[in-house]
Amino acid sequence: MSQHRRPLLFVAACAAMLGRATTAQGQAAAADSARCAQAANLVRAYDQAMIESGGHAVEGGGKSEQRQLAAAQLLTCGAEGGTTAAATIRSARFLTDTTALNELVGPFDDFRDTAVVNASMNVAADPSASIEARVFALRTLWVVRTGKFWIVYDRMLPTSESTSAHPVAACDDGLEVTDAKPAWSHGVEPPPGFDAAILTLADQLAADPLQPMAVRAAATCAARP
Amino acid sequence: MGNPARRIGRRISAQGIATCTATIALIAIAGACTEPRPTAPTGTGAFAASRGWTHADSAAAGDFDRAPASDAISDGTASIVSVSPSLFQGYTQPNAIDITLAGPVNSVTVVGNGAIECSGDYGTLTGFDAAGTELGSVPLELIDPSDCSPPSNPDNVTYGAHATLTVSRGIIASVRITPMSPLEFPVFDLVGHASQLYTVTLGVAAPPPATLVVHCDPTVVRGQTVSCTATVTPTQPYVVTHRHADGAGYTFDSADRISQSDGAPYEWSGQAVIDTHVSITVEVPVNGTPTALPPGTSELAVTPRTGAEWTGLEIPATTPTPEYVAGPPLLANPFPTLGTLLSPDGAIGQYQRVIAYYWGTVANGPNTNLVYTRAPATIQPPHIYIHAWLLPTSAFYRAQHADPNVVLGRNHCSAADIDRLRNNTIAHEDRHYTEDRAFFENQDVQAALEAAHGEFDVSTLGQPGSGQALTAARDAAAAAAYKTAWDAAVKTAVDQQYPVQTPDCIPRQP
Repeated sequence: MSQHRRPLLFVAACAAMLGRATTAQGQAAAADSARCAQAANLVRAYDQAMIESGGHAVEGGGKSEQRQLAAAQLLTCGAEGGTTAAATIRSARFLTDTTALNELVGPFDDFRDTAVVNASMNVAADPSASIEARVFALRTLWVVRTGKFWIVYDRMLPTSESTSAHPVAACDDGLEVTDAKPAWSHGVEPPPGFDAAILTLADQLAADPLQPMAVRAAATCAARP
Repeated sequence: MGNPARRIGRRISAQGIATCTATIALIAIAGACTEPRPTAPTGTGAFAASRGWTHADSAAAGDFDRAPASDAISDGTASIVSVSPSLFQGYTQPNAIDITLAGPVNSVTVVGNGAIECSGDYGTLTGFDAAGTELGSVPLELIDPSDCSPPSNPDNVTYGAHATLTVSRGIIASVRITPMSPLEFPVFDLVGHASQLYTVTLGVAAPPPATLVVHCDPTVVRGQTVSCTATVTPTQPYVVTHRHADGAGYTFDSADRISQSDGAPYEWSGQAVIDTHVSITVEVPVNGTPTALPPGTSELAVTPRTGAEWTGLEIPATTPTPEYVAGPPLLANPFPTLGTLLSPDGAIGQYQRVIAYYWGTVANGPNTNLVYTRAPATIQPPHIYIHAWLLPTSAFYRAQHADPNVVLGRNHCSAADIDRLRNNTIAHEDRHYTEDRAFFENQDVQAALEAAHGEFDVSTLGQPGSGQALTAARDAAAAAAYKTAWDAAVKTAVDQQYPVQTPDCIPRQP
């Protein structure tokens, strides 16, 4: 039953947002609560549908793009944006499809928000979560800490140099990037010391031989400057 | 007057009773035997001796057993290994005596006791080294010439001769005592038979002072193993107490104590990275007290790796085709500030290229803790990423339509504005690519990386924070090699000279 209702909810949310976008006056004003609420509804509906389908793309032209726009909108929505993003990060923790994960949680990687940080730390440390979701969570932790949003998932995976004693990922080794400076989208600013907490978690995961090698390697990236 | 005690000895011998004391002074072979001299098969009076005895007869009589074949001197550094046939020599044993020694012997003293005529040849003491080469020779001389014919007893006989052979070079491994002559001589109206029972004293050369020599392979190709060897002579147990290495901007010190109980050379080896001065300090026991020797030092020179793979790193000649993405590595929302197309750096366009380094870290040897490139770097094809929102197919693009009636002030963005922004961004990223390629054509980055090195404390590996430290060391090495110059030429200069021209318009939110 829910599989039928949720796409409908998603379509309704899309329509509301599009209608708002095309009729609203004064778009230069800060994102208002109604707009953020609509974006949040759209993201929740889309993400829920996608997660319940195991990461398969939601059918329907433009739905993915609308979700993408809504997610981008949420980055300007403060606490509401952070709460919604955090819910997605938690809900997607069992997904293994990296394309789906990139679509769902990728837009929030630079979201410096308390809820996002907490959710990412929970997923990164959650042994029941999929390895892929944990790597994405570690990527988010690295970006919210350093602002290096240009690092992609693949560069956090173990390289051939990895050993059980020393997990190694490429991270930003040898990556020459122009025009890029650390940047964040700001939500509810994490409390002081959050970056130290991220470092601690990353170091623990990287050093834990019981953790999957992919998680350990990604953790070495999350611990990097 | 002769020495009464010694004359007693002589007289005892003359009476046909042998009293022998084999003493190795310094030393200590002390053995004594008293046995009656056997009656000669054919005699000529009181001095009749066993001239006609065979070697077996002498052995049976115990002549050859009067001294132990070997013993150790008090400090255990030298000893008599064997004596052949015995320490007795004379009429009944007219053969040379061969004594084999062990230890750092540089002096041998033989002192005879018995009866010999005070004329003729008293024998010769000759020393040889382990190879049998003669080291020196001295004739035996009378111990007390005044004993030969004292007024009270002018018999021209004395109790013994002696000799000391000292060598300044080499170790005495054996000595030979050739017999006296004559073996038979007149004593008043009797016939005397020569006899000498020798005591042997070994002199041990003072051990030469211990010295430490450190030798490193003088020239090594970077990345190959260099070996530095510390050798203590004379061979003896020692403890390596300090290892030091320094080169350009590099210092390594270790106070780890490494015991070499067998005295074998200590080898300090590992990959070579830079020219290095090496110093090693050891302790040796001197009278039971650990004593540091002067440090041994050596130099090692490192030559670059050569060959086609170590030069000429190049950027692929084909300009990258823009790849349009709406997320990583670009931002999900490239225009987070409402009302403007201004965006965070790198949000709408990036030029990316990966150069794959192959770093190694030296864990042992005189370049411990140095980070270096263990294999040639490779370059992966570059990418230009442009944000998909700038494409006409995007919702963002479609939402941009200018207000037709606004003449003054800032207008809403039009599709043409977004086209211009997209094209400007692509042109800008193309310029990064062009300058990147030019940089690598003009600079031998591969050769610079070949020589690149940094420092990282390998003992911290695995500890929290070690990954960051290792990364920092590698980044510093790359920066010094070329990256700082690259940043200036390919990033900063392009950004300053060819900035992205951003239309000054107000974008509509889709």
